[in-house]
Amino acid sequence: MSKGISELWKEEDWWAVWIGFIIIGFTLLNIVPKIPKVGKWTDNPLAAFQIIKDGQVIGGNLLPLLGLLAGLLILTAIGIAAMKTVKISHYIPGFIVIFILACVAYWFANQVNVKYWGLSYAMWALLLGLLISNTVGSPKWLLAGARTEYFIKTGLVLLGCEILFKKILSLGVPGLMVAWIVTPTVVIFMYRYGTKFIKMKNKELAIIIAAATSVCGVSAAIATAAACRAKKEDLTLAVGMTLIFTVLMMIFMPIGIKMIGMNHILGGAWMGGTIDSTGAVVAAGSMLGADAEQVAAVVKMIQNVLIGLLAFVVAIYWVCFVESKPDAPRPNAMEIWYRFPKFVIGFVAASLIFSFAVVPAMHGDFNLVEANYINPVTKTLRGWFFCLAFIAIGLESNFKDLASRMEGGKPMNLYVVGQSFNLILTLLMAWIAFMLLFPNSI
Amino acid sequence: MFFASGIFPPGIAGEVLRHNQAENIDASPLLYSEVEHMQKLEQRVKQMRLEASKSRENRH
Repeated sequence: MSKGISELWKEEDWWAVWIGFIIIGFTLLNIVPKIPKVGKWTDNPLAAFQIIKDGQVIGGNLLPLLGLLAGLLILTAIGIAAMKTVKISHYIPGFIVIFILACVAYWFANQVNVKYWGLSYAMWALLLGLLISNTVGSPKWLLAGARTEYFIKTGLVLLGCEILFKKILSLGVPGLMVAWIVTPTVVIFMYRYGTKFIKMKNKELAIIIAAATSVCGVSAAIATAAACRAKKEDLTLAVGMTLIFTVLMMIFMPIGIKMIGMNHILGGAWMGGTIDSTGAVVAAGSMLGADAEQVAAVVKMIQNVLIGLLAFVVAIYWVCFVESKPDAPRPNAMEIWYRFPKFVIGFVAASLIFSFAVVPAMHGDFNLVEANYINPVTKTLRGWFFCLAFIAIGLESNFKDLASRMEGGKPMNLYVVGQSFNLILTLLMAWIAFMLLFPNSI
Repeated sequence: MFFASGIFPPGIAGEVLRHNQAENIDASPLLYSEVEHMQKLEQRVKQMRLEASKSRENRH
């Protein structure tokens, strides 16, 4: 029993929950100031570190960024000290450099023309880390600060605040049909296809690719990878694939839809249900017109809400069926609890608290909750934790390991077949929902 | 450097990218909460559904 209690301050999962909820608690008490970001820039690279209001430079954000570095360092170092996974004196220099690299990744991503391509900070962070590890190599002192799982899990607890359940009703029954019937079907199909049909040995990679393809790309990949305790290389592969295909689908889907003259609402719902990241969905939808953009974005938003549920189900499934030996008896409730990734509880709890306590406390005004708590604090901090995690993943990965996980192209086979199935099923469901059953719903 | 240059592929391959530039659309958000004008998009969908529901009632 004593081991059970000591888990609370010795396990990374619990520390992610504590740090996440310390931030959430202070945010709700309005103690946390607005979290600084690396700004957008066009021609002047230094503009990313200036605060500009109405075209006038009113200050710099280097000092606030230093404050953020100090804050994150203190918060995460408390956990590191309690867990004793690495010496604090080793953790501090590594973390500082990883934070600087995260700023560089954001700086790349925030160039205006880069944003038009849909290339997010996650990609730049991953590339930056990979570039270092595969050229000069990642020094030991730097790797001491690369606490990938710790950053991901803390980021996921904060992500829970953005997953507001009541949003699923935004498009009524047709929206639910497209987002909530197709998505689980595609996840199950892809996982079965990957593990049973093409016999992928790496079940974690199969479920991460399935989640990324059917839910919402990078974010779903992160949540699922953490829930099934996948290797970093698996996440890198899945994220790489989803980022490349997202750009391709954003470029070619609206052109195809326009060429065949498909109804724009149907086209919007189709793209919303299939293109992986929300930004690319908005861009592709906008090509078809304002109505399509709105429907596409809201379908994607409804799908986004599934992340929490998916992470929870995958965590339970892994504990009960994948991690246990085939001839062993089913684990009992205590064993499931013991092996369950506890940060998922923090993630789901944050989502439930925001959905059913914070939003009602603000008279059901989502906009107010987003403007007061999510946008200025939890969302930005979640982005920082994910960016730190992707830098760390890149630093810890090398191309040789990545190539060894390709299993003769099976992951790519899974992505292509799964995405094709997703495209067909989503189109069919969107047609049934928006054209056949509820033709005048919108 | 290439991605930051503002040079996009010619023809239909660059159509969406040129549209993003013309309309200043950020295509990089990973989640709905990162889309700057998401509230506006949600609001408009709400309005579209209300208008559709009114027109259905009028027809009845």
